[in-house]
Amino acid sequence: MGRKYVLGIESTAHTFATAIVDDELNILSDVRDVVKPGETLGIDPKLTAEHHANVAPQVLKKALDDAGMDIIDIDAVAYSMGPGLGPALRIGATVARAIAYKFKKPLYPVHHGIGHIELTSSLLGFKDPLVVIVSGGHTSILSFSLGRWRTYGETLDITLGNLMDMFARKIGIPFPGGPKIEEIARKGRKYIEMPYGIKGNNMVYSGLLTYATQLIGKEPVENIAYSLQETAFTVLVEATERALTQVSKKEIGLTGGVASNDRLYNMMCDMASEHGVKVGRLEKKYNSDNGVQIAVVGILYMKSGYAPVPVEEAVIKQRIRVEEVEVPWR
Amino acid sequence: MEIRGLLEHFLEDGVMISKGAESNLYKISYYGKPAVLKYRVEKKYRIKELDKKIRRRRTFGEASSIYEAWKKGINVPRLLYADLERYYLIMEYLEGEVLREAILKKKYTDEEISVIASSLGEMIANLHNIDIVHGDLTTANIIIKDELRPYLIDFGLSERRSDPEAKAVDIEMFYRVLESTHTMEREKFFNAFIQAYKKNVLNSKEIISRFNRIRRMGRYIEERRRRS
Ligand SMILES: Nc1ncnc2c1ncn2[C@@H]1O[C@H](COP(=O)(O)OP(=O)(O)OP(=O)(O)O)[C@@H](O)[C@H]1O
Ligand SMILES: [Mg+2]
Repeated sequence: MGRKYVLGIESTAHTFATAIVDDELNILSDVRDVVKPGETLGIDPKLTAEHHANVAPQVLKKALDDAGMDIIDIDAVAYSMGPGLGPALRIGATVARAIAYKFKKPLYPVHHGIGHIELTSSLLGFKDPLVVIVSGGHTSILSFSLGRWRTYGETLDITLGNLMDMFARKIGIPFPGGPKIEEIARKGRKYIEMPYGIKGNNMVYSGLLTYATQLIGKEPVENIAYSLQETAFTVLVEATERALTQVSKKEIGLTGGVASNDRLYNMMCDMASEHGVKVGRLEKKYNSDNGVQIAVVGILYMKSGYAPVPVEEAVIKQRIRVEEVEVPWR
Repeated sequence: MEIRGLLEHFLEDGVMISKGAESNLYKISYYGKPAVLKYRVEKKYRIKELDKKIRRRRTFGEASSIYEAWKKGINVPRLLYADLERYYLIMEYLEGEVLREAILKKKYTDEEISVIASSLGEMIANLHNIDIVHGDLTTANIIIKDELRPYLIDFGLSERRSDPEAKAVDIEMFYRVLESTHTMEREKFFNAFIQAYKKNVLNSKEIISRFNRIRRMGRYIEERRRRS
């Protein structure tokens, strides 16, 4: 039997991306096109969808060219079905359906978050990890139990990525401000007590943002950034430790844009080592939305013999939770 | 360096019964009675100042909430001793079984589940009525003594809050736990629980409507953020 190839299409938010991955999870191509952020951090759904529709043909063509393949060589198409922005999701789903219909390819709708999770597990070589996603779109602690990926903790308001970026903007650093905040925080010397938002295994960050913002101009910015980071990360690591003792896993996979922060990574390692648990994080480029994560899940569906969906049933679900998704490959 | 003191004395013939995320628990003998010593341990990942603040605050919070609740006749272990400088407290030992494990083992019939859930609903209502939110309501923090009597433990994340929002969050978190850990029993359990809660809590309308709102919101964080 020859090798199988899956085309993955991602379009939940600001990124339109395609990738081709084979059944041994080799990445043959990975092409992305990101909407430039506007004045606000939020994304304009209409402009985003327009962008995606405009770049889709060339992003798709480049993924095929880079892999040296023709569309008929693909064995299946996977697309991100949600959660995300309706108008943006619709572009990816439409492209996927068109290909599946015209070239008679099996079609797999993929949960975007499960894409992050499975890509993290497979690239890190982790069999059964606790996955911590910290990005602009997510801040959640997940693990596999009773047949599904489940959320063991998450932000109850804003994400960790948002917290960093919004604070950065307030001190005049353009999006994405996270990396710069890490740099400034390194020069902080004094810890200022700030609102510590933990609710069980869940985080609450908006009070922290308000508090830190009000200190601007009153305290050296290095100390504010340092205290903001220490507080926000300590909350996350504590929530992770609580989840960890509940599910007793042996590995923690850290992913999402904020995973690049060394302070966070080191804190996570310090916490985990006390439990004899390993921590891994992804290479920077796989922390942001991409087509590979979607293709990888497509491969997993295909290999487990899961039935593809007929084109007319290939919908999008803007608000789908990980718990709603059946996971036949684990 | 921490000096040798009462803590070491207590621990000398104590037996560790649990190693949680933030604390170690020992069964000890306190003036001849079985008791539990809960010691909040140092965490290397936290900077020193924050580590001390958190341990102190949690020890104090737990001690005062247990004491306040106990004074009102709510089923909690009796507080026996607390040392805020060494971050530990001592409370009455409860003979019983943790609800989480008991449910997972299918120990109870449907009727028994309803009985427990409704006593619990009444208990949480009484707690909220004295403006304490538990902050970590899970079935792992409930011990069932004989005659299906639930006792509430682990008040480290408790807060003094009079606003309906905080109370609604408390209930919502409990709902999440039932949803993820006790999927089969959730409906029966929660129905009995919320009925008793509503009947006993002050300001019930306000809390329940906030609860319903959070339930809706929680699911859509993703979308709300993206619209912002
Ligand atoms: N008063 C008590 N009597 C008997 N057993 C107790 C008592 N308090 C706690 N325990 C036991 O110890 C366990 C942990 O206690 P507690 O929840 O207070 O600590 P914790 O550090 O928050 O732990 P975890 O992280 O597991 O929640 C409980 O599940 C229970 O089995
Ligand atoms: Mg507990």
